[in-house]
Amino acid sequence: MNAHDTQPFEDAGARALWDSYLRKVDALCTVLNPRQRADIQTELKAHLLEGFIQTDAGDEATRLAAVIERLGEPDEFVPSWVEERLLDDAQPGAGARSLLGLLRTNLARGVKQFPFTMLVGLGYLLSFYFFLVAFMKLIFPANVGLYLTPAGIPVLGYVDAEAFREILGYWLTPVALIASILLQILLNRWIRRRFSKRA
Amino acid sequence: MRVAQADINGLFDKWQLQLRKGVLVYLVLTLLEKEDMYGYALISSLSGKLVAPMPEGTIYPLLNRLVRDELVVFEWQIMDSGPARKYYRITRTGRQMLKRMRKHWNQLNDVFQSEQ
Repeated sequence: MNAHDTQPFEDAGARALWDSYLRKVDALCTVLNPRQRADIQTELKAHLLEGFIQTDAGDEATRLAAVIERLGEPDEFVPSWVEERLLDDAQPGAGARSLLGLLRTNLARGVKQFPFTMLVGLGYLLSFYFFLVAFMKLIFPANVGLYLTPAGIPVLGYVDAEAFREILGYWLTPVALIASILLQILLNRWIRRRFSKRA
Repeated sequence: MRVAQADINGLFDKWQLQLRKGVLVYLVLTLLEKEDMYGYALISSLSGKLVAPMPEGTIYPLLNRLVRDELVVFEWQIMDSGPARKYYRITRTGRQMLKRMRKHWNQLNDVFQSEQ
């Protein structure tokens, strides 16, 4: 018998239990890539089968139910496991998918995490805006920039007003790019630190 | 201000959870120091060592973290009979970590003893 095999039960009740449990697990793993999802499934199948073999009282469904009861409902431990798997990939240079996945699971934990998720979301938007402005400056050099209004209020973006005074000029492109990258790095570190602490 | 019993229960549960997480790492590394083990066997060895029962599944996120922190490594082994087993082995870093944890644990124990 191999953990990669499909379930080995003859009893329909046991088969239903097995399928239902693994379906619940998989539903909690949607933010992971197929390899990570398969890893979790394989390890849990191995656990269930091992427990099933070592539990000898009752019919197949009773034995499997006992193993599942000891193992716990998927929502008791799979979300933490998913976070761990996402953190595996959220090391320096991590892809946006891993980090966004972390945020998604974080948001799912409830409104307590809402301010954190909102701030990070806004941070990413701002970072993207800096990136956008850096390139727009090259396409619309006369209208895109960092300006000061007559009242001295800074405005960053597309401006069509003679009264505004531009500062930075073409320096805006490198400055905005650096700001975008720095903001990304800070946000990524913040996310990693927050999840590492909780883990 | 009187703290409601429900609040105390909540605070105690939180404290107990944090304590258990820390102790669990120590226990897992201690078991792996003796021999390589697969998840189910590790959990079976742990049962009875923890005062408060916990879902067995909670060990897996912990093992994942220990692997990421390079305190343990794993290897799948195909068995002649029964399901394949994912064996966990403590690394050199894991042993060093355990040594420090043990020292700290003993210091804490001394403090507890002297307080009683």
